[in-house]
Amino acid sequence: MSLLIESKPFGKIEIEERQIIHFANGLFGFEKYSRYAFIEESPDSPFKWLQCLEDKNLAFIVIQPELFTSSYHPIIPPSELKTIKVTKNEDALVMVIVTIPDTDPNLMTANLQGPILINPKELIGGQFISRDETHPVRKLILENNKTPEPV
Amino acid sequence: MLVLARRLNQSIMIGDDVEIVIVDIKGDQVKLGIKAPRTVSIQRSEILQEIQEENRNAVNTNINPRALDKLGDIFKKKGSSPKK
Repeated sequence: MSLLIESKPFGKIEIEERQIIHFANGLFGFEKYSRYAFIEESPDSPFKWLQCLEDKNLAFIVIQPELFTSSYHPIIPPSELKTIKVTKNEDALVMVIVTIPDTDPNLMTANLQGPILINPKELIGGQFISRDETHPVRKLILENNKTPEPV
Repeated sequence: MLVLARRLNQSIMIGDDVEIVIVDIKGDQVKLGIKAPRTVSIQRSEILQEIQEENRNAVNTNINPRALDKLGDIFKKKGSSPKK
């Protein structure tokens, strides 16, 4: 079943019911909000959106970490994974939140310390803290692109 | 806030299943041992605060979706042509 929602990036759009992910504990700093739509408007784009259904202005850009960083394995205690009914990271879709500065989008960063895990079968998700303290809160995504390209 | 003075190897209990032990004291650093059920989430408070703040920064992003798609293209180029 599809439904019409208000989104920050795209205005009114139609989504499928199975795009709705329930975050029982919300996201850090936004604990009150629990229902988000996982939006992939451009299937080719690496960037996806988590649009809050309870507040139109609340939308996060997310990306799969393996697209810009290799060997990223967030360490999350099994007791916390249990809250989204998975036993290991591999059972979940792992995404990280992207921050894009208005001044220079090329300096966009991803939050590897606070990954989002989604159980795609149950449509439930959560934001977790990776206990690997080498995972930065602000990891430059286009780091490798900074080397000047030959013209 | 409740303030308690403790010496090395002394501990405090929080409820009946969380115990915090003073394991080591060196200069201005104190090492704490924490015994708690697995279901209790334990964090350094500054990490949690940093993630909350970064989430707020992320939400303030005002990039339009078309510009974002363009940025995504840079990505694909990067991925599909590892080296020229």
